[in-house]
Amino acid sequence: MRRIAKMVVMVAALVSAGLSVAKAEEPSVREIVDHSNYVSLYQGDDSKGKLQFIITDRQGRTRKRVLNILRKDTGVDGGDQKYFTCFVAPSDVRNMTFMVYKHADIGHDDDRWLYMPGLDLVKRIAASDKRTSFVGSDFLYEDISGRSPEEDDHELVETTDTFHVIKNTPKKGGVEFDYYLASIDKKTGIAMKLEYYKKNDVLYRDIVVKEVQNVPAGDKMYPTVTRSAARDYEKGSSTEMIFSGIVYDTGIRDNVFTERYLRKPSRDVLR
Amino acid sequence: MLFFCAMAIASVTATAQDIPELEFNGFVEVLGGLRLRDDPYEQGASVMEQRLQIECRGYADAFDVQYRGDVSADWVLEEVKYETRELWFFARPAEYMDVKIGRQILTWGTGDLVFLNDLFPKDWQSFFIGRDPEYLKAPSDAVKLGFFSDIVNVDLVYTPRFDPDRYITGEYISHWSPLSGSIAGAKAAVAVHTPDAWFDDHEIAIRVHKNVNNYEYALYGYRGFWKTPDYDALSRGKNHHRLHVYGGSVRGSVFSGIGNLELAYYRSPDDSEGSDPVGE
Repeated sequence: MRRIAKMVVMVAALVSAGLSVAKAEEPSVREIVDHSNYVSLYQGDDSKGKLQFIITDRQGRTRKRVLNILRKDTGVDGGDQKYFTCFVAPSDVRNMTFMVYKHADIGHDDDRWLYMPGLDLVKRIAASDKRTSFVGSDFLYEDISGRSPEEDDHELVETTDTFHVIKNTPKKGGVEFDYYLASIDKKTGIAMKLEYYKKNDVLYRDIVVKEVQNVPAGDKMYPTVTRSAARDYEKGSSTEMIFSGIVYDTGIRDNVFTERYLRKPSRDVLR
Repeated sequence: MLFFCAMAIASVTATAQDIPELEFNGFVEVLGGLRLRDDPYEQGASVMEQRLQIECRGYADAFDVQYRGDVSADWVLEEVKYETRELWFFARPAEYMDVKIGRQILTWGTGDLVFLNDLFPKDWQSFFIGRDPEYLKAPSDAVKLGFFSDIVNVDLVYTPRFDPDRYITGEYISHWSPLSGSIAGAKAAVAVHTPDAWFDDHEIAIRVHKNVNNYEYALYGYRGFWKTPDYDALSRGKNHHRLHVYGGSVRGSVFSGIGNLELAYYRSPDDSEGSDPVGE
């Protein structure tokens, strides 16, 4: 009996070894997508930095938005997260704060709060507008806090020397695009280009990564997008997003993500 | 009414080592509004003003301070006004406690701009003549203490001297006066007795709140005065009668939106039966 058990274990070990060899050679589409999702949103247990948006409209006029952003994972990688942002510029939204409890489960809407310091007002915001503009830029809320891989069907449509090109088709309707293509860097897992198509393969918006930096955190290195641009071909506008002052794993306390800190953020967290 | 508005914003940050970090912000605003129909009791312009706001915020390790003040030239009242909107000191003396002392804007409750359990002073004049929404809230001279724990959070606001609303007096907007049985405008001033004794005519407001699975529950209590005065037949003027308020609220996601329910019970101890509509 014991011998049989030993054999079963050995066979199982061999099979799994075989599988992992296969994995190293050719990751599954879902593995590519999950890894990309991890790299863009879940590296380290928390992170903070400064986001700058330079928004250029059809007439070439530019506006600037600056905010500090904190992120903390509350579950496993790919799971729930909390976000906290504080506006730095322009002046009329200075010190406005925004907090999101992101729920990774499909069908569980995020919880969001906005604090307006001029009125000392904490507003609760419905999460149904995930695919609307973030701070008036060409990036959408979902581009910042991520779109769950569960929401799309994924298909590997092309493999080049450097990229896996994945076609992502929403399982359910209710979004403005028909599908999007993600060109995922084979080495880093970062989606270097996202192209959103409407019906009849009409490209209507894209996001292109322009710069990636390796950010050290302890003995690890996290490849991080530091410069990217979103273009909306229908509106004729574009936005450059610059991420700076990035720090990982600083041990942000959980109570930072509460109404107390929404009303009065602590200085060390935001500067 | 026709509104036009121009805004210029300036921002400066000054940083020096070892001393509190200082930030200066400010804006200049021009606001105007004209009546499309004649009001015999008011000026042709509903609002006509230039405003300069200066904000200065200081950060030290142990505390923050903030000053915000407005100077405005008001062409409706034909005067230049200054107001300190905020002048406060904030500290977190303990892990479980926040303290904010001084002139500050205070808001709580779930109704956004509908206030049931929020008895902090409002500026209804500003709201109705079309100033920026932030001017709906008038400042309080108060002490706010916050206590935080895993079980429950408590906010306590003590206002040592009653802060009334800036209600409709006829200065900018005319209104119906039951006392005279006519429309009251800019020249129809009524004597108002406002309780103003320090530490005697005070207000106490409390909020006990907790977030359970992202549903925010809160209980509220208030002891003070009606924020807008009532007619008082004896004095032929207006009076702020005593007021007690008890309430509760819950707010959270409902389907794919936000739902909130807020209840408040207003009790006038001077007339708890409600049998005395003119305060005789």
